[in-house]
Amino acid sequence: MIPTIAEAAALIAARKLSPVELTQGCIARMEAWEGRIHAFITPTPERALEEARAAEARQMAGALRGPLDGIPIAHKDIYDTAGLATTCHSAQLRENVPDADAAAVAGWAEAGAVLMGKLATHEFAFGGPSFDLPWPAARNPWDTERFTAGSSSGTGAAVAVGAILGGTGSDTGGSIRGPAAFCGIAGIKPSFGLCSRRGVFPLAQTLDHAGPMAWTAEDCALLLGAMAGHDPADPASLDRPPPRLDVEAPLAGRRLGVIRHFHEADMPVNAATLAGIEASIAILREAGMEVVDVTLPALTEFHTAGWTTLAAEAFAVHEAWMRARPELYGEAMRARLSLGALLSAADYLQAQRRRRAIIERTIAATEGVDLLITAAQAAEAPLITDVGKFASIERPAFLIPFNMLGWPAMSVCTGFGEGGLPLAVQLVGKFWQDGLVLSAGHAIERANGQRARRPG
Amino acid sequence: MTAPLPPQEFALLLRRAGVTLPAAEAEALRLAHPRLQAMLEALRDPPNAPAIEPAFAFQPDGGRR
Repeated sequence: MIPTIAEAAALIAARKLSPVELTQGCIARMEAWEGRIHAFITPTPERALEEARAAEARQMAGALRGPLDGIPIAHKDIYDTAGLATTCHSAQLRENVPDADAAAVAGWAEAGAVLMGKLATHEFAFGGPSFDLPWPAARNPWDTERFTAGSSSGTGAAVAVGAILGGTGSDTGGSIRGPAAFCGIAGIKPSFGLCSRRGVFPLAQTLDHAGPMAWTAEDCALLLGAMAGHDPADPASLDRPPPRLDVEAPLAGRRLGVIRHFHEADMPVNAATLAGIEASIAILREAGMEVVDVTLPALTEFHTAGWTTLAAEAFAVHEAWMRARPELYGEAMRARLSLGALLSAADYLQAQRRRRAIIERTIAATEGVDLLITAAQAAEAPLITDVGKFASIERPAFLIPFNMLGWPAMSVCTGFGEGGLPLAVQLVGKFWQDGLVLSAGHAIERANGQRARRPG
Repeated sequence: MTAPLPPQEFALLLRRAGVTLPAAEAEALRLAHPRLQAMLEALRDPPNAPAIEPAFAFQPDGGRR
């Protein structure tokens, strides 16, 4: 049995579980799965065992640092790790070894987490899936011919098989929530400004969020607690107390807004996904939430402004390398950056002006509502070979609206489709209401009973 | 959706953007370009009202008031 972080933490605190044995179990699962799912760029099992032994010494001395002490985790390979390669899954940074840890890496290390390694990503969190990079693309462990979604692909796959109990992701247009949905785990994109992006390679700074992924919403809350907080080194970091992250906080009396037009009209989902959304709504209603429908701007309107923003900002980040050494990117990355290169200053500014208008209309449309619900993905994971390099401009997705708003949003598993692949729902809170999102995710997971099933 | 630009016109666009791509990738991008154009037209339909500021308005103090 693979414990959740919450379960393992309780057992470690009670001296009923050794951090070393816990880590050895994760290493065994990593070794059993890695040849099929390619979740890791740089595994660090020896370092993990050394850190686990240190955690065990604290356990025996009664000096545990908290619920993450002795918990095996890993970081998406766009998070800087001092002395350990940080490649962004790209030949551009094949030899890159940072001098300092990213803020989240430092936060989890201080909490006692055990580093299992660095995880696969779409190239620079943008270009993927790609088959022409120095490392293979991560595969979905529920069916290795299927897409993990991106860009936090390695984190999604590694958490699903229990090679790690949690990991970092980054989310600019859905890169935490998408892989969480396709890999059957939980992942939260926190409120913008809650988690420092210091040391995380940027994709599009006005949309970039750092956040955690884990098997459950409760575990995401534990991980988020160790990476949230003000950091003057990140210009977007907010100097205000982090929200309370109590997954047992009551939902009764809160109002749930169903963005029905997103998943029924703007981008209709398949029957199994819709059933999962309706079942989740029923669970939250049973928990005492009042349910109403809400109408936001159309998904395509979010998509055009959001995607234009993302592509333009991404090209600005990569412009120098794209001009000087484009051959060191994979084809998918070059293609997507080239789209950004074709945008004008006016295109970008119109996207920013439309973004403001959309935000104001969304705030007005959700007055009196505490939580929103819609799809995370339209269906189960497609074949990895069916994902085109221009997929992001072919159809809208459910995830980028909440990057544009900066509101907290998470994906939780609702069950499995006909092909045995995971299904998910997306929960969205108002700004800084991350605790409510996690509480609702926890309620859904507890009621739907879908956390007992693992790949394989 | 509009038709793709003629190859020579599209090549000029890429040159102006400072992007150099292998021929096959440039051709795939040329064929995808009408979808990008359609998105950019949608950004302006309906037109953004003149008074709308960008999402992140200039703040002389860097937003640290």
